[in-house]
Amino acid sequence: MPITKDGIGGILFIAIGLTALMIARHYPTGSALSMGPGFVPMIVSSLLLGLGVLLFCRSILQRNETQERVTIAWRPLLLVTGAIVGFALLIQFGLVVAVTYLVIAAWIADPNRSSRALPILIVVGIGMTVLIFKIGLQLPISL
Amino acid sequence: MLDGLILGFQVALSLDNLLYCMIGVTLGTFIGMLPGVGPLVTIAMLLPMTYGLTPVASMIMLAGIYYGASYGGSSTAILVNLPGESSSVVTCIDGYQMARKGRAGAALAIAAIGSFVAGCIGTFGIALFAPMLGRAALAFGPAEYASLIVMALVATSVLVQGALVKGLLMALLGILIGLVGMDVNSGAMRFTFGLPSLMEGIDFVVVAVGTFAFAEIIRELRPSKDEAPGQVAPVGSLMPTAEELRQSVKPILRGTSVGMICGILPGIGATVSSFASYILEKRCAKDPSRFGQGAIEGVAGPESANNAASQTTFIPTLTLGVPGSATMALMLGALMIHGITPGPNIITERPSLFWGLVASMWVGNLMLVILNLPLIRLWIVLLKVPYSWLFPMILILSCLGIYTLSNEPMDVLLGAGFGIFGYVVLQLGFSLAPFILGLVLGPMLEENLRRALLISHGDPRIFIESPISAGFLLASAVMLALLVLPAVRRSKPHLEQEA
Repeated sequence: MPITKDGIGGILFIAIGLTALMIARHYPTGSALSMGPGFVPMIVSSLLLGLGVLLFCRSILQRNETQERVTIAWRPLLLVTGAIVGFALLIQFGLVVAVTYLVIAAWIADPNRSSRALPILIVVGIGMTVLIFKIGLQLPISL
Repeated sequence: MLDGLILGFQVALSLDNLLYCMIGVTLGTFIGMLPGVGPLVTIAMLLPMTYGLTPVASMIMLAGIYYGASYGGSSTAILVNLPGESSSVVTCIDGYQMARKGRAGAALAIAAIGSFVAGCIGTFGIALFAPMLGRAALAFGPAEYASLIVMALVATSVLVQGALVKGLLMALLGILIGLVGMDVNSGAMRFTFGLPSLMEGIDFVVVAVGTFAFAEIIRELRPSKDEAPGQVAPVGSLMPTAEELRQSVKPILRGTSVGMICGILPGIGATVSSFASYILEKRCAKDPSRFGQGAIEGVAGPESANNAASQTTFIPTLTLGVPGSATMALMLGALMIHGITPGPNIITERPSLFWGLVASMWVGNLMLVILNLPLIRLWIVLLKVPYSWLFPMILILSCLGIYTLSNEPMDVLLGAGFGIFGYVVLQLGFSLAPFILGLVLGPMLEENLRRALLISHGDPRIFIESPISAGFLLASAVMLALLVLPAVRRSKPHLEQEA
């Protein structure tokens, strides 16, 4: 059985709705007169769950209609995410280190990269951040 | 109103604000012309940089970026057949055909003139209607607000690309993310997973940059992507012929009216107005077969409509605090960061902000015509910037923008998470507009719901007994019902994500 976009979307939102519902269960709901902190979370997560089920069921029923398969480009997804996570971990060592790393990581993620561009990108990247964040906005970040 | 406009021009024409308006429109055009970067990404990315400015200056600059990007987007649509943003999708149809016939210059000129005329009338429309709507909104109680928010969310979910259920799911998820953090009424922690950095809620900018900027970069880096943008058509003479001008007058005026109406209604914005105007022009034309072959009316109408709508969409955003589109949600977020909650009182409480913004819109539109038409050949160079050069810079600005919010690496990690989320849901055919709207409106919805039920002693009938509230709910119900009917669902135009 080929899994369609809506099928996966339905499962995703069922999972989100269920998780939210499990967590929100512990919040006091209160009454309509004086709503507790769990009142709105309960409604929202139930609706998420319900509509997620609806989406999933509909995708099963409409399988004969042309539904596109899902394509996830894992390479850019993992590389770009890795670049951002690395930046978050490296920023404590200063702007230059983090930005240099970010440019190199982004360059690796680029399917059309050219080796000549890398040094220029690093210089431009550092120059731009220093100009905007250090000199322009005068933010207290160490270089 | 006259006093207001005078005050507004005093604010907008001050040297500082003139400069920020100039920076905004130039930056907006610059980024709007770049392939693969829309106004949403631009505003999300540059939001953190406006924190240091006064609220007026930051709004003027962000508004400048917004309509600058629309101008840039139409130029890209006409010259390379690539819509820079969703509201110029329609412009591609006839604009690019005109360019192929050597009339690119005329198409650009008409688009600019149409946008300017629409901008002037739109600005006047704001000056006229915003105070009226503001006064009417004074009668709004919590019940009316809650119903209005529901209507805005439903309208956005109905109009975005893809199925209605998916739009509603995204809106609900946005509300859920908005609930994260401390509940203001009880002090209880919600969905924080025990993490101290989530106690104050997830910063709006983190979500916006993650889901728009990061997700967009991941999408653009797919390997099959051919790097060089299509052939750039030669501009040719910028002067439209007398015949072309005469043909454009009525479409510009009709487009402006359509745009103004669409802009005021929450949830319906520039993109819908440009489609509506195109359809209207085709109906009005003596010879509809010319459309798609380079009919100038097909450029003049939609371009005027989307500009008029981008102006009037500020009316509900500022006077009701209910944004009509994802871009307006970002603007509202920017205002809230400055500690200003838009609402009916904004005109009386912050007259210089409101009128200054209105006047600066007119000034900005004038600047755009002066800047763009003569310099179009310079701007065209930007169309050739490869994405390989562009996206590392977007990545740096986005990461640092998030980090500098509170010098918290955790925020950047959260942003990365929202990047993954944004990419996955886009691939699954969901739209981000209802999500971001839900995020901004969620806390407001909860607060108004709570107050309304407190007033009525827990009786939910309060939402139906007030005629205004009942009207909003009825409109939402009608929209939902219409979409369930199969005939309407089939004829629903495939709109791109509202920008």
